[in-house]
Amino acid sequence: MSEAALLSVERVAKRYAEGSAAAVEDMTIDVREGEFFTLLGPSGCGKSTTLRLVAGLESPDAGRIRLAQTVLFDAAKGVNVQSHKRDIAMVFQSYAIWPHMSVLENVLFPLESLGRYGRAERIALARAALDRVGLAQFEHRSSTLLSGGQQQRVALARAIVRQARLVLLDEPLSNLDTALRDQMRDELFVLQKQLGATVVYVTHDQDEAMQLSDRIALMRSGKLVDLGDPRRLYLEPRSAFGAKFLGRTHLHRAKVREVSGTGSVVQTTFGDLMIDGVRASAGIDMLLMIRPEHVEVEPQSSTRPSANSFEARIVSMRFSGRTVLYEAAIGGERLEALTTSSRMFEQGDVVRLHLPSSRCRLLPLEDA
Amino acid sequence: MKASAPATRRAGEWAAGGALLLVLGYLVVLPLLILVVAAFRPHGFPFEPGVTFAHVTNAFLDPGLPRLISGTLTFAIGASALAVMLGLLLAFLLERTDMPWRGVWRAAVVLPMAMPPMLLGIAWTLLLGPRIGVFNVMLSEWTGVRGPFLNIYSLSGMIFVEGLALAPSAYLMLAAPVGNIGSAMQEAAAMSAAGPLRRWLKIDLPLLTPAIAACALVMFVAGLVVFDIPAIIGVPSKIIVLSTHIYGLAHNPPESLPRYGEIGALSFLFIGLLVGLVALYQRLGARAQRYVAITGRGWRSSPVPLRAWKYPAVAFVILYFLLTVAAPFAALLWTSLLPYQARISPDLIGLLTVSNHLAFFGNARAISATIHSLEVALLAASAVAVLAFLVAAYVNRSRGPGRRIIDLLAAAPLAIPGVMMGMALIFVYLTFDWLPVYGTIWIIVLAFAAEYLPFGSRAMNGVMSQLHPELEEAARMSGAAPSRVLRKILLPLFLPAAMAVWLWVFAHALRALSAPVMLQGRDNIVLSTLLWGYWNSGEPTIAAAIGIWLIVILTLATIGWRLASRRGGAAHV
Repeated sequence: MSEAALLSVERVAKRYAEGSAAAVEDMTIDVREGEFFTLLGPSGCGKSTTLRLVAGLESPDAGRIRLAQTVLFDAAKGVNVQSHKRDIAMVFQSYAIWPHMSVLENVLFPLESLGRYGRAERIALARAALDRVGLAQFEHRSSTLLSGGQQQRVALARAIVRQARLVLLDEPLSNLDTALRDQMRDELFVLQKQLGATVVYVTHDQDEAMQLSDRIALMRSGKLVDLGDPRRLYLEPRSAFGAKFLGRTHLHRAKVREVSGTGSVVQTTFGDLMIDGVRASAGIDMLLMIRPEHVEVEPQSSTRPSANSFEARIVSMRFSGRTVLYEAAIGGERLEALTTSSRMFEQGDVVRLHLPSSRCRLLPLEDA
Repeated sequence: MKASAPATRRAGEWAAGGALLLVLGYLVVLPLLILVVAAFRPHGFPFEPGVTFAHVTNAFLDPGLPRLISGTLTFAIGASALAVMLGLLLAFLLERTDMPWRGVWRAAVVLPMAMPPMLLGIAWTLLLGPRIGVFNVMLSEWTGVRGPFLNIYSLSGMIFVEGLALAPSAYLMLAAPVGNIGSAMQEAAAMSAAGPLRRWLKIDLPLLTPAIAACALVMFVAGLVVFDIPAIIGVPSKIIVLSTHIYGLAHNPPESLPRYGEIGALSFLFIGLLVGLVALYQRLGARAQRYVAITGRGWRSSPVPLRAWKYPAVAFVILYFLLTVAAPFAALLWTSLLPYQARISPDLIGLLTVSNHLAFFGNARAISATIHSLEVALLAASAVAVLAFLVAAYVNRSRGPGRRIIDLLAAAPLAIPGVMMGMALIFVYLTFDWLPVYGTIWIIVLAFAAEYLPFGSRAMNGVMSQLHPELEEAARMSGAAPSRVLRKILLPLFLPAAMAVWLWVFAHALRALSAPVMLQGRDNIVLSTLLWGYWNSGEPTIAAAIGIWLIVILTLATIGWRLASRRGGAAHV
């Protein structure tokens, strides 16, 4: 339990119906002040449920939830603070803009509910919030006449206007088209940094998660499977599931042959490989993981050291402007390599593939 | 082939639109037109020679008219307000709270629809009549005070019973909007620090306003045109509303000749009302639709905890069933088992007999009335189901001409009193004798087809607008001709909704009194007119026995309707 944690979720569990699978099980996370924290996972993994448990829109069956010094939920002590009494704001996936109120009225609503400030001050705050999301000129617009992106902005303004300790965002970008989604993602990033807001964000999009987050909690089947900063999760995943969920990857069966202080040697069907920093014992079967963009493609004549280098033949190439995706055959195996288009090979070319020892990882076999 | 396909489609749409206009014109416009013409004829017969304004001046300069109109308005406003309040409270309790035994209540909530308003009226005169009304007797005995406590034969009595009669329809109109407000809307308010009361006042109620207004409007119009309860309770106590006034003009005019011309003149009132209301209703409907369209679906909403309030809530729902079903049914059953009308009392148990019921099954007139009732209900229900489907398909799915007019015409009979429609049909078929339906069950079928078309087309419109047009477009892109799309895609998707409309009309045609009572002759007596006849000729015990069997048939139809509309997700009135 870190001292700096603003939100702490301890061993929380939720089951929707008696006898059904748990939606969330033994969930423990800490969110620090000012942090952009993301719950990431495939649909049905329990990430939205976790968010709703924090919001108080659902009640956990077990565990404890604390925001700063306030206990929001404690199963053992029977504490359960109602949603509207928690100092938490939320943006919903469907935006949930109230259609009978204007844009300004939507944003004023939280301030009126809290009963804070005088009328003039509320309006000033609401206008400031609308200004922040770029909707200053829309305040009198009926909210039924807004586009998806504008509704999204109103929802954001409504969440930031009350200056809650914590802002929850439930897949806020998933209903937008691609171009708008990229734009809103960038704006969200800037907004959070400017406000210094503490955010818990739910998404199933790993790119979104990595670009926005300080830390990511990866979930699967109601359980936390990995937790860390985006770089660690992408480069040093703890499981085959985590490796595949965060990006395109190869997984090959490998047997650990020797373990030394600096690394180890593993045996694969296309040859032996050096791998840095392995925590495994010799003789066991594992999975070798390498991402396509880490595989280096060189001409056959390359004079690079021969460790982790294998001769291969290009079976196919897919050109997409900035990058080229090759499929190469090494013996009976296929390996993908993603390179920039600065140097290109053709189908049928024989090349050398180099698998850097620092980018090769070994993962446990069990959940392949 | 390539060039002609759109052309044939276009021709087909014109033909379909023309045919629908013709049918609706015949069912709806022609009768109203003839009423208007009749208003300007010397004896009120549309095709006699001569023009007079006497009927119009008589009708509208009648010194009793302001009282008649204000009485009708008071009745309609009072009854619709009561119905909407009951319906809204029921909808909130059954759709949104954690009230105990919600499933049971929801299943039972339509049971009052099996109680014909005419019988509800009769039953309440038995329960709250000044002399033998059992509640009055009980109250007198408990308190020792003499004289009737509450008199059903009063305007407030009529409003009370009509409000009870309309409440199930109000509930059905409001249940879906109350239950469906996207839970995200309230969750967003909860996450904006709004407590439960503030959420209900600031979010739910405003969002429900269009639905409540639409419901109130429909209930108000129903109250304006309704005949049975004003006839049963109002007429004996000399409280006359427009519908009973029209009936009086046709049947008991002071100088013995029916005053058809004045009835025609009074139709102006309803036609004016109609134009205003239909426009208003469509505007409300459009607004309601817009709210629904952007309501987030979100997660299923967790019910509002009632805590200690659950006791008054259960008590309220039990009281509702007691007042709308249990007590009226018990009063009717008791009366039907007596040899002569008497109060409800344990002292009279020795008198009870099933002879009224046996007489019902042995009575040739009763048997033929039952058969007529079933025939009329069957034919009217089938006609409305088919016509409503065609109207909804044309209005929602084609680009043919006259869609707005067809939609309006299908909704128009809503604001025409059944007695007035009956009057109009008498004119039509006395003048055009090439279709010999006057005095037969067919004329009642025609009246019902017009009267219930608004319900049918609205229900079908509701379902049609929820089905994505891509379902049909996909069929067309699979090479299906429009007729095949209709047969293979639309019809199967609509069958449950059509079934629900069919059963609803069937039940209402069985219980309705207003049109049959105007159109009755020797050969087209139905159960409701037979019952009305026995009640008016002072044989309440026989009327009650017929009523019990009518309720039995209606209960079966109502249960069937409920099952069908659950499956079809049909919009209800």
